[in-house]
Amino acid sequence: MRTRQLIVTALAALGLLALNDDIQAQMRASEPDLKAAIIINMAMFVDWPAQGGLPGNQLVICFITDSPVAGALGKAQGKTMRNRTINVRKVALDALAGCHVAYLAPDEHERLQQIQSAVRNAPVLVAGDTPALFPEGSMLNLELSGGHVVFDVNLRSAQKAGLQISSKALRLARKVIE
Amino acid sequence: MEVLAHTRDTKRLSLITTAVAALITFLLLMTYQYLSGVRQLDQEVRSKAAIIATNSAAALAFGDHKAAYENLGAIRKTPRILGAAIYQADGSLFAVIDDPQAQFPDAIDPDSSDVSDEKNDFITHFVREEITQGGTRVGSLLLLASQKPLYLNLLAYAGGLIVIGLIALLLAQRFTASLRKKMALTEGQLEQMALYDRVTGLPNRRFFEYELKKAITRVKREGQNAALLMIDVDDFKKVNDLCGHPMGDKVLEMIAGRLKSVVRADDILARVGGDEFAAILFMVGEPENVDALAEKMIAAIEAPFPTEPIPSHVGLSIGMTMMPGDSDDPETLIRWSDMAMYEAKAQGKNRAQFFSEDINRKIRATLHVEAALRQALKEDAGELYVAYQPQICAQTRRIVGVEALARWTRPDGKPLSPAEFIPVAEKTGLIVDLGAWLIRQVCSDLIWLKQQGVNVEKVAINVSPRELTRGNAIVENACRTIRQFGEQISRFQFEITENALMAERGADVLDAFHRSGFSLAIDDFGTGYSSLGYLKRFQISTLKIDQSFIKRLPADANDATIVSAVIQMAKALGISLVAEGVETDEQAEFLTSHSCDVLQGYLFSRPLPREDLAIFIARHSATNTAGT
Repeated sequence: MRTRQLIVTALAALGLLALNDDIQAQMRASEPDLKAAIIINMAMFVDWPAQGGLPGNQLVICFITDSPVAGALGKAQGKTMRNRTINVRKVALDALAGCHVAYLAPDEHERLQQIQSAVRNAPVLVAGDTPALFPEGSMLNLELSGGHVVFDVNLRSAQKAGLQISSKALRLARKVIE
Repeated sequence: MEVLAHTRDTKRLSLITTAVAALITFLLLMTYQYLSGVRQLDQEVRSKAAIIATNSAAALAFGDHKAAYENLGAIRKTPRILGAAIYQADGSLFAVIDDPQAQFPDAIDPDSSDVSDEKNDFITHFVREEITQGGTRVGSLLLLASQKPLYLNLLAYAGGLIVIGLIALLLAQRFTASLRKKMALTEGQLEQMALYDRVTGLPNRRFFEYELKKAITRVKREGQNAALLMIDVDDFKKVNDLCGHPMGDKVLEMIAGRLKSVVRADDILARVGGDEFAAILFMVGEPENVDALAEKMIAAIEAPFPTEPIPSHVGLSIGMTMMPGDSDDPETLIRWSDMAMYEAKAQGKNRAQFFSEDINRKIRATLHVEAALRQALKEDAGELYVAYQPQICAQTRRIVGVEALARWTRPDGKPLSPAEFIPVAEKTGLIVDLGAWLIRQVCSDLIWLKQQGVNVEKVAINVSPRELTRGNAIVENACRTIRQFGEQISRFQFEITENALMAERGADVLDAFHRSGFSLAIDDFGTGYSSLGYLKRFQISTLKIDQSFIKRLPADANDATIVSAVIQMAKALGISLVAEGVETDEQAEFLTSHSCDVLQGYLFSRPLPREDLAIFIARHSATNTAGT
């Protein structure tokens, strides 16, 4: 505790008072890591329909192309969340319907049509960090704003896909499309 | 006094009991209040923590500090939660509010829920709540809870209890005040009854004995002296008999008042018996002072007491001992004072007498005589015998009767004077046995005399006042004995002193004697209280004029007048007259010339054993016959 007080004092002396502790803490992680963490954490607030072909003991997170965020997601491989093992996979486009969460990299914009048809009527939480993909392509949009990662939720398309997103998560969203 | 100490002890004990009960109640209530307060506080903080933790899950999951702070802000509505912090799943600090003293740690152990090694003291402690979302732990919430409101609550509660208790006590005090007053009064009365005499208000015997013990200790400690006085009211029975017991009580009260006025305030005056008082006089100095004070007491009682129908005169017999001079044992002191008091009575009453070795010796001798007399009566081995003094007809000089007198020769051959053993017998009650023995012995002697050819016309036997108090039993006993021996009742005359006529039950017994056929004589006539009415009522047949009147005859003109007047009165009433103590021819001459009926005295014969009597009678009748 004393150390923390010292640090605060030191930071204040360096004129870095504008940045508070918490921002500092968040800034310690890289942007892709933060985004990946939010995507995975969001899974805690989402209920997938009980029926369907999804494996019950796994949380399958898929991506189509490699990207920094996809790489960050990969770090969560094998971890447990809500009694499910996180399974991060790179999949072909037509296999997206078998995933719980699908991450769309920025350049997936061109294949939006195929992707949309691939996940149509399938309970897949489509996440992305490209403003252009939202709200048409992704249900969860991550964005860096003022040093924070914020997110938007397209609740309408999520509900259409059969996903239930907790109001707790929705309260923290920057924008919710209903 | 132990009674008072006991009461005080009881009071103190009841106070302690009440205090202990109140204290235990207070402690139990406070403990209950504390435990339930702690539980309630804990529940409150835990439910608050659960709400904040649930609400903070998303903020933590999405790293939203703003939302986290908003959630933590909820603690500000609960004053007893001083601060709050959220930690991430790895234990690092995520958000903290209201931590001016930097009490929250930078990091916590994510796996342990134990925060006891953190800040946990008497006033504040941490409450940790895990933040989970969908079963997954996303972090921890730490609340800093204060016990201060609980303690303030307890303080207020304790204050309330004390105030309520005091109010209850005050009300109870007020409501029970009259009850307690009554109890105190009753206690006081009980104490008064236990320790004080109801009639005079003086300490009773019990209290007095306690005071005497204390006095002895005090005398020893202070090196001073003190005197113990046993005071007996003379002839008090007369007051009760004449004026009734209520009036008697009033007289006792007045006596107590007068005695009190004589003694000093710190002296002890007590009523130790019916008509007996006792006094302890402190620091009296010389015995003369005690004597002077006793005289003062006697003087104080001298004035008549205003009673109805006639004023009462009483006297005091006072026995005195000195402490530590005589003894330092309370029982001995009382006994010796009593001895001295009896001696004062024996000396003629209404006087004070110091205890002395003489008295002690006398009383020991009395005890000795009593034991020996008891023994002699029991064994009847000839130590006791009857002596007979002849009574002579004044005119014919014939023997008309004898007076039977008890005599005692001790085993060592020395005679013991009746003046020594009769009073002892009277005092101890042995006189009753002696009287019964006397009648038996007289009967048996009469038979013996008859066998010797000697006939005794009449035998006079003395009856003591003490015997009369036994009632008719004495008459029945006399009749039975005489019949057993085959004697005639008419040959027996019983002599009673004037004072015996006044004795309790005396009248009944005399009636019984008369009805049974005995003749009655008044002994020592002229020395006591005589009532001519009694002479008629009990049909007294004989008066025996006391020898004190005969002694100076015929020279003393007064005595001569009295004797001749008595003779004339007796003649007028038809009562025969016996003169006792006739020692000279002149006396006999005078009495004969004044028509006295019978003479008795040394002039004719001293009291004689039956053998000598037989000889005397034989010789006397021979001379008498020869003379005529």
